Amino acid sequence: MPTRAKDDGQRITAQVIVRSQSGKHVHGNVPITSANLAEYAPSPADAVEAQRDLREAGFDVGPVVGISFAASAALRQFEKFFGVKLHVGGDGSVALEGRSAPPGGLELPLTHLSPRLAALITAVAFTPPADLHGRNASALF
Amino acid sequence: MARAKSSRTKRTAKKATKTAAKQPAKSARAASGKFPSKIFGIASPCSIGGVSLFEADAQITSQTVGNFVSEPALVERAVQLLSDAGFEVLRANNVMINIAGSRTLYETVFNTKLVAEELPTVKEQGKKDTATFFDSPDTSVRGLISTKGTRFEGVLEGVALEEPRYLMQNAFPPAVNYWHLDVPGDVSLGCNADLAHRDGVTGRGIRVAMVDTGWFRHPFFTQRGYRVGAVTLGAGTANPNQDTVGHGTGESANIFAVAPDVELLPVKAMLAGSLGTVLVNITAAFNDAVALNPHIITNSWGFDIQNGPLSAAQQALAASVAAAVSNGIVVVFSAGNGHFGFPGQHPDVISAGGVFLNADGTMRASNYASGFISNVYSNRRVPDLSGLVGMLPQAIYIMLPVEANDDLDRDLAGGAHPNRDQTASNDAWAAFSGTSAAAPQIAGAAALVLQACPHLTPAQVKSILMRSARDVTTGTNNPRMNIAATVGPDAATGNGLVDAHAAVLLAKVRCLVRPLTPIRPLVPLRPLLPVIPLLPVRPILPLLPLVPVQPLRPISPVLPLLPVRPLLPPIQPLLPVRPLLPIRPLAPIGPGPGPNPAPGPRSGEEVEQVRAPEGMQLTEENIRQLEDMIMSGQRDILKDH
Repeated sequence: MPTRAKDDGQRITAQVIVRSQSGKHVHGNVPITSANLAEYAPSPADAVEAQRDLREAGFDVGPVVGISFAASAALRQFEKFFGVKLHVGGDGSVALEGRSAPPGGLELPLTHLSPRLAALITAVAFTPPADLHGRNASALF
Repeated sequence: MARAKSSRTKRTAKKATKTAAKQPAKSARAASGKFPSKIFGIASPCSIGGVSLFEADAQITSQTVGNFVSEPALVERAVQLLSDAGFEVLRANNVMINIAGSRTLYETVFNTKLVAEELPTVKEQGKKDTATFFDSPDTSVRGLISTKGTRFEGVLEGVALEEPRYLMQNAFPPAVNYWHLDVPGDVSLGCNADLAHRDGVTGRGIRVAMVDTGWFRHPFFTQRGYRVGAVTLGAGTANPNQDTVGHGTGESANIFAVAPDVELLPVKAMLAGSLGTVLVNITAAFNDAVALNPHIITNSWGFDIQNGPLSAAQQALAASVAAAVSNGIVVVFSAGNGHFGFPGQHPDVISAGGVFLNADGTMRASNYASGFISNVYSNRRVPDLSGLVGMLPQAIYIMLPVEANDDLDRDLAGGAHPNRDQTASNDAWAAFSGTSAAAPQIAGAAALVLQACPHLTPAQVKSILMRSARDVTTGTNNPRMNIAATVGPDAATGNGLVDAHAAVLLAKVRCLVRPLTPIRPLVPLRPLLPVIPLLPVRPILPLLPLVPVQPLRPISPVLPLLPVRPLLPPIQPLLPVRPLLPIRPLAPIGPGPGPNPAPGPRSGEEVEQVRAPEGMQLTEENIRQLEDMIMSGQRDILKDH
């Protein structure tokens, strides 16, 4: 994976997954569709609270859609808030420093968060880079 | 047509050279140090007519051009010599050889010194400015290098250094000489949308969000009056007026080709990769699109996920897709170009595959497009149906508008089909497709369906598009999957190529049995005032019993009749019933809250719709019969609707 010089002021964005109202955990083997979305949907109150906490911590937050919302900040802000060292690859993927980005996108540890916020959310994950479907497809085979 | 283009280039070069010759003495404002790493030039092999292409008074017309062609053997030799010298030979014909090389290379090989000059010129939009021109001071014609005294003497009559050119972005696509589709016409016809347009179904009132690389206001769109909303900037993006890749701009033309009256809402996602080939923070951008509350979201991107489990980030995206569809938004995703596309395999989306339409109207599965059975979602076949997509190696198939000199304009420029699109690198047009093109075409068809029948759910829209698609029975899809198209639905093309007109007809039929416009509840209803009870009616006094009539005595035939005794006593009249008190009228019901303050995904009032004939009652069986009639070609049955 191509790398580049670290710019800790670079803005990056992660998806914050809010805990479900039902108490059911998101599991990778049970894909979420419209048929089971309600089982994983957060309560509006939890989502608003999590958004407020992150906004107060200096993150920009996006709308809640499905089970998550976007949180954006400078790379150093993510590092400080989540207690990790990060780097951004040339393809825009975010990884722990010295490591490659997981194919499914890096999940940040929640251990550094306040217990209150950590209880509200189940994961903070970086979306891996997506391919455009109009070009460069032949690179796949 | 490629030949025509070459001729045009040549004429332009000649004209530029002749013009330069008439200009004043070379500027002393030499701008040294402005040389790029690569300088482009046009080398002319010696002409058979003996007159150099570069002579100032050479008149080159269609009648005289024959004097300037060169012997093929000489052209071959020139190409070989130029290559051996280190030049990059870009293209060669019997009149000229296009080359590229460094300043040092030109200076060494042709024993000259190049200078750079800043001279006045006219740039885009008629803007007067200066530009850098290169020249060899050894000749009197600006930009001309002499070959005299070099090893090229007798082979080349000269080399002209290319001049900067500033092309206006043109609403008309460039001419190329290979089979391709233009927008809007060919794509509309290929998707069978023209007939729907003739019936007045054009996507009016439907809003389509597109999550992509951004959107550039190309004359293709503005001169046709297409409606485009403000570009929404996704996380990490800037400059809403620029699309440095051209992907979003170009693919959006496919929507308008099928549904010219929709409103496009571009959402710009962040780019990364060496040539802007990947999108970053894409879930956030998708969520921004959902927040715009459109009728449809079209997406020409995805991840390659052949097997589960899904990561947390992927589940977040899956949930966003599910939420959008649950809210009534039709979500279209490209299936991929050899990708096991995700979310293209999500069961809630309309998954767009590829069909190649030949010049003779025959169809086959595109070998560029994906199709597969999902290992992530059980019983999920991808795609659902297909749009128009080119073939390997590059799917150079649909001539699309882009921003001049953006990534696609440059990367696909020049060369020869099928590897390059044979357009200029800064002409603001590029030929490409992929399932990226299929998704917006199908989104356009969905817009027509929703205009025809606004209350349809996303699942119903998908069902109609699939039911009405044209079966494709030949060809195989991408070699990574290598699935053959067969009779009936398959994983090569899904249910086949989208048929917008048939889909609209089916939507109209569907609209005949469903409520036409969702009735909004009047909230809150004011309680009805209680009706004042009627005063009890007094009991009616019973009639006095009638005294039985005494039997008549037998009449004696002799004796006179005795008078009949009257019936006594007389019957008493009924007591009059007291009239009922009048009922107090009900208090009027309060008005509703007015326009719905929380807009749903669709308002039935926003869009024109088909109205069922008065009193028409159709059963599901009737509907199926009508649909069968439409699909068997009896499409006039809905002519008046």
